[in-house]
Amino acid sequence: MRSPLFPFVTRGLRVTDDAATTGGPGALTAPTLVDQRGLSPRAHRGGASSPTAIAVIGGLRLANSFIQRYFPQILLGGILVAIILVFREGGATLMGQQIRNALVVGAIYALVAIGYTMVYGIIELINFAHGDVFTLSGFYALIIATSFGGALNNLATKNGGIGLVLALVVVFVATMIVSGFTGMAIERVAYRRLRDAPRLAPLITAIGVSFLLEGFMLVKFGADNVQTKNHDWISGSAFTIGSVTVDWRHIFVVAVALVLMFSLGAFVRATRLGKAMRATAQDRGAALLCGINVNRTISATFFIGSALAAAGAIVYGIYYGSIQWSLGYHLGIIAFTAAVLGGIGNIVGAGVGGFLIGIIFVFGGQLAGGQWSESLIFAVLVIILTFRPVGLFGVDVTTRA
Amino acid sequence: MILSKRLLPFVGLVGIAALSACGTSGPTSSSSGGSGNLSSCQGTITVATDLPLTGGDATDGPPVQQAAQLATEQANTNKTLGGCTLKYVSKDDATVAANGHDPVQGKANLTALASDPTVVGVVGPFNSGVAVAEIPVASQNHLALISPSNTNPGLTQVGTNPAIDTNSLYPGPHTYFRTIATDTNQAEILAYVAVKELNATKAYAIDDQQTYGHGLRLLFEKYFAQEGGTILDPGAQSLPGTTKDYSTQISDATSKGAQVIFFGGTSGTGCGILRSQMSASLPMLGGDGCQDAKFITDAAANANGAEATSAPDVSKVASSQTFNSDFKARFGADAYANSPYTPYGYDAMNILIQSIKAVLLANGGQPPSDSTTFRDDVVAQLHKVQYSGAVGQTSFDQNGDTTNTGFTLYKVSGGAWTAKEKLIVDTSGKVSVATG
Amino acid sequence: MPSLSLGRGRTGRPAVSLTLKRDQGTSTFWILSGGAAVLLLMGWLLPWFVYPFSGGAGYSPMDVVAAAPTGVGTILVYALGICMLVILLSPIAELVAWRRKKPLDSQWDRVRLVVAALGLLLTLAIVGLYYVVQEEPLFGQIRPHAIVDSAVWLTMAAYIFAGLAYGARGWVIRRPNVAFAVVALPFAALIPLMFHQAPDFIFWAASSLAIYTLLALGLNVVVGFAGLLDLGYAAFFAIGAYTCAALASPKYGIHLPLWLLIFIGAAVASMFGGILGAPTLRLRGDYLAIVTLGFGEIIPAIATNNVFNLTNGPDGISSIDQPRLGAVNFSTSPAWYYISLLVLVVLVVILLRNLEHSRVGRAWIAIREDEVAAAATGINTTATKLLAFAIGASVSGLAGAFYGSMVGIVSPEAFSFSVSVAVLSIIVLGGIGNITGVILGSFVLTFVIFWMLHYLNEWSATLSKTVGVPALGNIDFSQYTYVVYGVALIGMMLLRPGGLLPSRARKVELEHSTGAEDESLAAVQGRA
Repeated sequence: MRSPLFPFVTRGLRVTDDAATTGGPGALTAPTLVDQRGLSPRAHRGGASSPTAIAVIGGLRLANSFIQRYFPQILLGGILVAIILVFREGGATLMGQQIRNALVVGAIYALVAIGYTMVYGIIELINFAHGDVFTLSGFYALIIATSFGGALNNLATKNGGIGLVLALVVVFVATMIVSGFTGMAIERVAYRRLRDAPRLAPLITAIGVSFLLEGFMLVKFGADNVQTKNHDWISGSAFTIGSVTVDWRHIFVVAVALVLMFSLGAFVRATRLGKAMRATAQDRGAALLCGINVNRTISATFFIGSALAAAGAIVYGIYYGSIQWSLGYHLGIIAFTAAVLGGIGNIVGAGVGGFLIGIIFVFGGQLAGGQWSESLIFAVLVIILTFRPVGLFGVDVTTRA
Repeated sequence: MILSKRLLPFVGLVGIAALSACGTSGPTSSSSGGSGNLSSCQGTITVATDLPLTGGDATDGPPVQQAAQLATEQANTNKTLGGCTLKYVSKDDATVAANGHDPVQGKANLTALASDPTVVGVVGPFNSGVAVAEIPVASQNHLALISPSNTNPGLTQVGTNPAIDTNSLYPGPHTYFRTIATDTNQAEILAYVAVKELNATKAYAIDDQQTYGHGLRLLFEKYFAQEGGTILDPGAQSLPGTTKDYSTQISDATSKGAQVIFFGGTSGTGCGILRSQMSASLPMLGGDGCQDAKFITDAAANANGAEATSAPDVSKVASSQTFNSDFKARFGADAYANSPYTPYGYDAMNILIQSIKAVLLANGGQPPSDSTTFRDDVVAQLHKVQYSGAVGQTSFDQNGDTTNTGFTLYKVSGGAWTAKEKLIVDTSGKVSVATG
Repeated sequence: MPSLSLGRGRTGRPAVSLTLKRDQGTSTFWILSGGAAVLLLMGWLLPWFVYPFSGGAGYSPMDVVAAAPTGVGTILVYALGICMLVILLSPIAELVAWRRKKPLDSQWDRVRLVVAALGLLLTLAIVGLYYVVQEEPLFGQIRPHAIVDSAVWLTMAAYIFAGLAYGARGWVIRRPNVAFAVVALPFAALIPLMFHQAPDFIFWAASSLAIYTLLALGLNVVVGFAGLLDLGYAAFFAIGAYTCAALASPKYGIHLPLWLLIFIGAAVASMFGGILGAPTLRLRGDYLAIVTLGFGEIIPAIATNNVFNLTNGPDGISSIDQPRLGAVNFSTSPAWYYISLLVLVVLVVILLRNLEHSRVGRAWIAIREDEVAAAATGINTTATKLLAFAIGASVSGLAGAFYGSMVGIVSPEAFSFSVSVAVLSIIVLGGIGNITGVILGSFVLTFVIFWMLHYLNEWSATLSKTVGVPALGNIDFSQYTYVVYGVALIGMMLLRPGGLLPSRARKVELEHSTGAEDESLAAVQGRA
């Protein structure tokens, strides 16, 4: 678990107990130093002379380090237990259906989470606008799919497999490019000038951009759900396992997510631009000294992140058949949780995190009731960050957070 | 040059003082006299609406506001109040901070309206949460408040909603009315439909975590159980109105053998989305929040077969058709397209205007000189009103609830809502199909 | 990062601090002079402001233009018009001079002081004559009730602002915070008097401006002083409000007075602050932000789901008691809410100012600037951070208790993420870590974004009727609230990342330490 397949950030795979106990600012922090200011100082300093206090603090430390070390196992164990409970509740059919639902939901979260993780990895900004870029891309796709006098729609629905593939390729490529440029423009206008300002400034502009995009979509496309008009491009069921029917749509969603994730992973690992991204993420200053065009690299990161969000939005539109202006906020926050779960800055981590969040969302909703689904996600978020901020496939965050 | 000569005093004069006879040009009753004739009526009488018009409520609120505005415009054109001017003020209780209806803004709006002596009645609010904040202000100021859409029974009927202490809402006289029937009536009818007509013994209920949806769902569960049905997972599956994926709940429902899925909520909070994701062969039942065009758009291919109760079908009644054609002519949109509450808003305003007219007539064609007396008279008149309008025959009981408690069951067929039958509840809670 | 002397050193301040103070002083000068112009404009435009609220027949300024000024008193009005123009144009002249780097001669300040004084006198004279003489020929055709005292108050306040700004420019620049307090406090105290004809404005001032000011002051302790980013601040607000609701409503039949409840609300909220803070405060920066964001989402969800039947679910707890103060029942006059909240704000400001300059405050700043160094100097970082969290939460709980009793209903939807964002926006707009800035920020945000945008539709409708351009009335501004909010946040951050009144220490950081070259150099030396 410790070595991600395509580590976005190659440095600092030293995931130790200490790494999670962050607290140090940037460069000065060495893990041992952090631990000194973790839970231990109170035992030494805070007047904890009574044996009970020492015992309690010791117990806490033990629990803390236990959770830190075995976090993936605990999480996966919990998920397994949830799946078994659902099996007991509704048999294989229910379990299978919910796994299918979870994978679909998770695939969309994964695609959005990658954008968060890339941007955070490279400029340490929670890009609140990313969820809205997702929604906006959905509208781009809608416009592209319905322009040319419905030619694409005819191509997709009336010409069999080849026509569908062609139409999808056109929609995907066009939307991803437009959306990528939107992301670049947002970075150029709202974030670049604040790259070296205090942390809060770009965070607030990110929230501002989010409001701006939502407002724009509200004015332009109205407050209601908008039909994407390509819901029927893909239809019919592919196969049935037991009594669980898997539709082509389900396969399409998950396949697109997986293909894009892995090609992005390969891209970041193998290409020059990918290397530049990793270098910039690791140390912007040093990357600059090495002759990497940092601005261009960051722009490219935004392009790719937004393009993946666009892919997610197209998939979303085809799967659900409708989009709405306000969609991005909640979806974005949950996707961000996925990125954190996977270890922020780590592309594969974000992908896996997306699927895991999908499972938590669906199985939590099944077992505890849908009203707790979101709370459960946020609870997971709080627990991860408290006990293991590095996430599942963590990189050393002592210098990152 | 006109500007230089006139701008200067203008700037100065208005600068010191800017004028505005704030609320002072009230109804000035000049002697009584006049018999039943309103042509000698003098003064300005203000009516207002307080509805959410922006943010997250930007779909449901505005058509209702427009309908109420239409009613005032028609009244002025027809000189319903004779020589008196009917002034209309629209208040928005949605705020940027809350992105939608906000009880704080509602209370502020009503405080402002109540402080203006020319205001005699308000149509609104839209949301029960806002109503809870506004009713005490209206009651204290003797101001009539007529809601076109509050269905929470706790607002008027003591002990029907554990969350609302009804008595403490009215520190003054009872001035709150509503033109729409309460959720109690509707839930009784919905439970009847589910058990007797859909022959369901197992129902799966989902709601939207809103006051209306959640309340209706709890009442539905109560009456469904009374009719002998079983609710699967009672009280659970209360999802935020922003939910876009109901696959978990649908799989859960089918695996538990649900025979009907009930949704407590509106089209804006997921009714149509839920329908679009479930199997079209499974019956779905909803309240009046679902019965609109938005549902059909959202549910797309799956819309057919869904059923919902809503306002009595008056589409064949002339008054309703007239209303819709007038609305179309004035605002260029179908009155029923965006909100099922539009005709209720229209009727609420018309009832208010009729009551004002009755007060004027009773007072010799002039507004009462004292604004509190005027307001009290209007409230008293509202209790007596018999009005036939776009939603049928409306009158109010002693709680201010409409006696028009019938609902029509609608079903989507051929991509449009069609009325199936009208159901009525008697005072003992017994549901029956109305004839004719 | 170079270590700065942030406390009040006994041996005199470093030179850089002096220039910065002057910078903030200049900002305050701009606020005063600009504020004077805006207030004059407001007085001038008052019919448009008042019209939608009055419900009665409004007054159109066009009537004055159309009516020929004939009376003798018109001369006074003309003179007043000249005063008004001078004060209105002054900020623009200042701006031009500042742009051309040729500061206006100081005698101009004297002229403008005289003008402001004259304006004040003339206003008093005209109003006095109008009320005492009420002679038709004096002013020509002024309709009855033509003078609105709100406009008079605004105009007088504007001349006082202008007089202070131009007459005591040096003092304003030297003691900006005092100058701000001297102007803001009486103005705030007189709001109920100035706008007594618009009760919803007073209600807004209490429920929105004052509550958000309290929230922002509390969050400022966490974010501004201690440097801990909290995105779920609304959760503590909710906790305070629900505490108040439960203990002063028919829900449990308990009816405690508000004056006790605000302390209980504050205590409960700070307790939750401690509970949340204890395990999470080891996290830094964005990670803490996300944890608090999660917490901020969970609390309303718990309230919605009516856990243990504590919160009544989506319906919320209603019929909350209206407070009383002796014989005064607050439900009948919103002004009392406003006044008691104003007192509370002043008390909290005094408390926080003292705290900022105490040992604890210096410890917060030390932690914010460099946690390792702070720990090394013997500061118990965990306890100090926890204290910041608890104090911030308690102010929020206080605000929550007041909010609950004011609205009468507490339901989960009032505590969404957007509240946290709004409060954060306030302190960032105003100036993180600067109490004066935070107060200014809450005024700007709640007034401009929440109040003006809300009424822009009605104003434009009125304007379109006045000017006779129907197209104006058809624009639906409310559609654009999100766009305006977003553009305001982005623009503010790009143009003035430190906020309107940047805190001194923060300003130093902005200007001196975080250049890209510095950082990359540090990176090469320290990390690579």
